[in-house]
Amino acid sequence: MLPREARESVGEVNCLASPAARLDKVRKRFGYRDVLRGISLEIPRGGCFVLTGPNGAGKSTLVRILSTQWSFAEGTVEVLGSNVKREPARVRSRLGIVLHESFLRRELTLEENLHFAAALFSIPRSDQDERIARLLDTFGLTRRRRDTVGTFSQGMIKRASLARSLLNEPELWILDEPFSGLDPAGQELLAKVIGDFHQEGGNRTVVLVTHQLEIGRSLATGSAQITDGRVSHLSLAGLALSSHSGAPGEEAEG
Amino acid sequence: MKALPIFFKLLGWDILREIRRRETIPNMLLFALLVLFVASVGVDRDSGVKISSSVGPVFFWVAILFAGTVGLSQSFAAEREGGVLGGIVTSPIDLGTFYLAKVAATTLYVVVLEIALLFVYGFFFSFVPASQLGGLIGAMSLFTVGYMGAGVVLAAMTTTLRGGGEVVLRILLVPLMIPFLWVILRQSGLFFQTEIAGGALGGPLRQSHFFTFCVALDAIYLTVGYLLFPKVLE
Repeated sequence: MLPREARESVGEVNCLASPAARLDKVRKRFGYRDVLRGISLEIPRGGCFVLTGPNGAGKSTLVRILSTQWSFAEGTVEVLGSNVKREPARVRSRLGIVLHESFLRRELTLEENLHFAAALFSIPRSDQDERIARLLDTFGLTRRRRDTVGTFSQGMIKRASLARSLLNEPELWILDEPFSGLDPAGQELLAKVIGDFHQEGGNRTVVLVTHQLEIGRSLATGSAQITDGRVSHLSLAGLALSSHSGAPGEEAEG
Repeated sequence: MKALPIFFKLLGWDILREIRRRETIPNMLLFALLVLFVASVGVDRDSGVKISSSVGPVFFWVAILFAGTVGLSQSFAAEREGGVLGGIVTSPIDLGTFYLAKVAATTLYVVVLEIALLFVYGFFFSFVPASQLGGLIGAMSLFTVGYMGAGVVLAAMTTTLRGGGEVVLRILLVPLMIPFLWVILRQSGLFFQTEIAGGALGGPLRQSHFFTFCVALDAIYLTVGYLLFPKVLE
């Protein structure tokens, strides 16, 4: 659990009873190596919560657990008020996820991929076309909608993956290094979309893992630095950085 | 969430992917052709033994068995490409439905292979079991459902291994299929109108007993697979 001061700050930042995510003494092990060492963290609803830390600290493992993709050995994880082990489908239906993999089939066109994802989320056919057109427009992909994803550049795949993750209009948007592979215009666009997502959408929350501290600082309404499988710094008002994580404007280690 | 529409969607997308990639069926067919070709030239045709009535059916089933693992590995490698499998796992669908759709898709591909292989078998071994064709296709289909039922679970585990895990898949899967292979080979004596392995496996079962046995085995493989598959993916 968070220290008392931090929990009080949560109350100031967010008025809702259940946080966007709550991890309690979560432990994850790969072989003989503990990647998460009993981590406890509360991510408040609303805003953009940034996770930073060096490579191998456990950030990606943490977001894969939050996104219900990976199981864990010990502890409790609640996302949007639901236990991820007991109600995974309920959690999944309310998440948007962008990880290092695109989740896109390279032999299908972009439009087909988005329809496939929409079917997985049981989005009514009548809504699919409108949502897909809107997201393609948002991410500047309309002209490439009938091209197979196998012909896309890395940056285009990232944009397509971002569009896919918003199809189900999620309450919690989990982004693991979403800026990598994007050109400066794409990064600027994504930063704007992230800002709009949590500012215009009531209590919608973004969990953002990034090494790009300048962008992280501009977006963060709260943050945690993960080091060696634990929370080493926590802030509920902006970006938390320890002395060894790099100065603002620089990239963090790794 | 309604399972049946999702099942058909997943099955449809899998078939569309196979049509676009043209990987799984051609690779399985090539592998099976090589097995039958090597078998047909490796047996002394002048020895007076009619090959089709002795070892031919054994080679036929061996070709199907090993080509099936090629298909399973290819099918799951395609799912892992670009993290597609991760996208399915993190969606709110019942992963058991995904399992059944995957079993249906791979069963379809292998049955297509088996039917093509019957013609190839006729060509290489100069024998087509025309009078027993219906029963043979029924037996092949039932065998394939159980085979893919077990294979899909194991392929989901082994495709993460280095080199695609095809060898490990065979090592794990083939022993699981021994009960099925035993009855299938016995029954092949009837389908191919011969005595398999000199009758060492026992004679053919009554058709009704054989099909009941196959359906029971399918039910076991599918039930266990349906329950295990989500755990394997998670």
